[in-house]
Amino acid sequence: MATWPRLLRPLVLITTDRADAEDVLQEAFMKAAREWSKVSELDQPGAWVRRVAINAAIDVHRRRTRQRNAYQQIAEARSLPSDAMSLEVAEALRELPVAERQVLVCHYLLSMPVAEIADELARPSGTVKAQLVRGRKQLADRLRLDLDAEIS
Amino acid sequence: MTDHLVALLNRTADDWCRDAKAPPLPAVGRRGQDRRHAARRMIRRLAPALVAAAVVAVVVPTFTLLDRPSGQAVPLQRVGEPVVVNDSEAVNFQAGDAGLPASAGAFPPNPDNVGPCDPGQLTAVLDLASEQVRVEPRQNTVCLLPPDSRVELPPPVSVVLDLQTAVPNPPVFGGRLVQSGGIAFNADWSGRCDVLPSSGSLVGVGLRVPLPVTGTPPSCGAGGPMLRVGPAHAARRPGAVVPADRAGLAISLQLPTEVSSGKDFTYDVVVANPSEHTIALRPCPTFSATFRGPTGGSGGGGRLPCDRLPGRLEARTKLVLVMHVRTSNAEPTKTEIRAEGNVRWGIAGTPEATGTLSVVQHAPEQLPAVPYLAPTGQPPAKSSFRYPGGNGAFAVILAGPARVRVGDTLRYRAVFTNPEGGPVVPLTPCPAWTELLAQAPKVTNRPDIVERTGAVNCAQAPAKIGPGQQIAFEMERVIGPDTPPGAYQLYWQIHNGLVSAPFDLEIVP
Repeated sequence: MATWPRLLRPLVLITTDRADAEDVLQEAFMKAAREWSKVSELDQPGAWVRRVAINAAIDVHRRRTRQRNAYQQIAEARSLPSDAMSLEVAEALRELPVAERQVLVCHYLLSMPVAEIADELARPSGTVKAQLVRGRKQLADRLRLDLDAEIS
Repeated sequence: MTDHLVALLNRTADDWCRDAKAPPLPAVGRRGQDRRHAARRMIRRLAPALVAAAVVAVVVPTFTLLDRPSGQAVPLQRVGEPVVVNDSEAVNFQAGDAGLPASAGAFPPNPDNVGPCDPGQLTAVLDLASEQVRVEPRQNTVCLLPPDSRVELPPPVSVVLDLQTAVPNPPVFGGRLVQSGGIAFNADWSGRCDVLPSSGSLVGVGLRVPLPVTGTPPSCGAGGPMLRVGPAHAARRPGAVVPADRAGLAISLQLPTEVSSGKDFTYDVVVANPSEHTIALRPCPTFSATFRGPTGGSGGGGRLPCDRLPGRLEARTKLVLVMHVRTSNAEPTKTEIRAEGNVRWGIAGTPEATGTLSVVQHAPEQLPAVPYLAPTGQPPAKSSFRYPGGNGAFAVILAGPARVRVGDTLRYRAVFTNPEGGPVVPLTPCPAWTELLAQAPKVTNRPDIVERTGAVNCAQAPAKIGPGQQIAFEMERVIGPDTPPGAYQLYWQIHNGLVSAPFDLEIVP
């Protein structure tokens, strides 16, 4: 399962919780196991698992939102980044709507173009583009970044 | 630059996923994490010892004091009715609030990679109208201001620094951690307004940042121009100095003797002034509250509901605050388990109060087992019921023989537990189950997956499974003669949502 850490990376940024990300990925692998006859025929079974997991991450986020306490939950230290800058990025990501986190992570971490994200998340490409513009502006403002590249 | 964002996301993902390893075997779809379960299993193993040792020290404050030479207890007079501390209100900090307690900071970053701020990276402004000095990074950075950071203004303005050494304010690096959100110093102008400065500097060891002055003070006086500058604090966090006399407050906790795991509970915090002097409750006190139970905890910082509290606590009086705690569910247990939970509560500048209580995990009420019903070949009805995640730690545990022969019938039980505090789980419409037999060890090793689906035998099942109830679904499966012997894992799923933990099974010739 060498793909595990690679698949976990985008999920942890989307869910902003490592335990949640691990849950989502486990469920995706479970689904892959159940549909292995189909999945195994694909060129990249890992991409299929990633697609399922990225789509499932939004459900996990919604469940968490409903039960969120005003206080922080005491978590194990390893469920959060330890680096000061990473903590800051994590906080900034938490302030974004999960749908925008999804497209940002797909675009910037996974280098996926808008059309591919739209396909993967089953959203109109116009919606994806708008979410990407909104999300990256909010993230850039929060993290004080200058973003000048075109979104393609 | 976009590259910068990409680099930041990669760095964060790497840091967050450090040491990530795949679970040894295929997925556990239900909410609980393996490591949390491991901790719970450890607690279960330790439970008898805990029970044996359970002289549960419950804090029972008396609210009386033996502070007179005669040793005679003198009760304190309670001020007003108990005041409920609302979670969502509590986190609406104001710059003029006092504190925070050090223990309110749950996740300080690793200090090893936080360096001193480069003055060229920072901008600072003194806004007299909002009574704040704001320090912000020009670009994305995380750094530390020097400990002696201070504001300098040209004469005739005198600058007075409000220092606070005993109470970290706020907790992370004494408020000197500069992040993208910036940090602030409360700045209170007093005296004449006819000599307002136009600029100054933020200085410290290795630091000199120009400080333009904007706005006009909300009020002016007749004395010499003076700016009182408070301690550094994170933006949108409490920034006022904690008055020294708060050390004279006595905090005690009134905890319930025992609470049920998975259920919420409340406790009272008694803030008493046992002295003969009045103690001001302004600036508004901030607090930290922490609960640690056997299966997790919660905590953090907040501000007291000062709009509902008196401005001061007269001598020999007390007030009562009502706090709310949400506990975590534990894994199902066969017997009742008692373990110790701890509560810590403190106001900035005041000694923290601690207490213990007994967290009881009740054995679930057993409902009659549901006999097996063979699949009919018809697709079962779909149920719209969705299991809540997180606090609803539902569990399906499989129980059966560890070994079965090819050609034999495997009989096992899928034991479903609805935790205390969980919602009612309906069995109407009758839910489907899905069974999955996967050849071990790894999903990616192209396992042979055998899946089948049926409906629960709802004719012989209750209509619902209530909180704290457990029910076993009896299952049968013929191990076909062409099944390759070897190590397998069995999964079971109900409502198309809740998956059992994997059950190890060896199929032998």
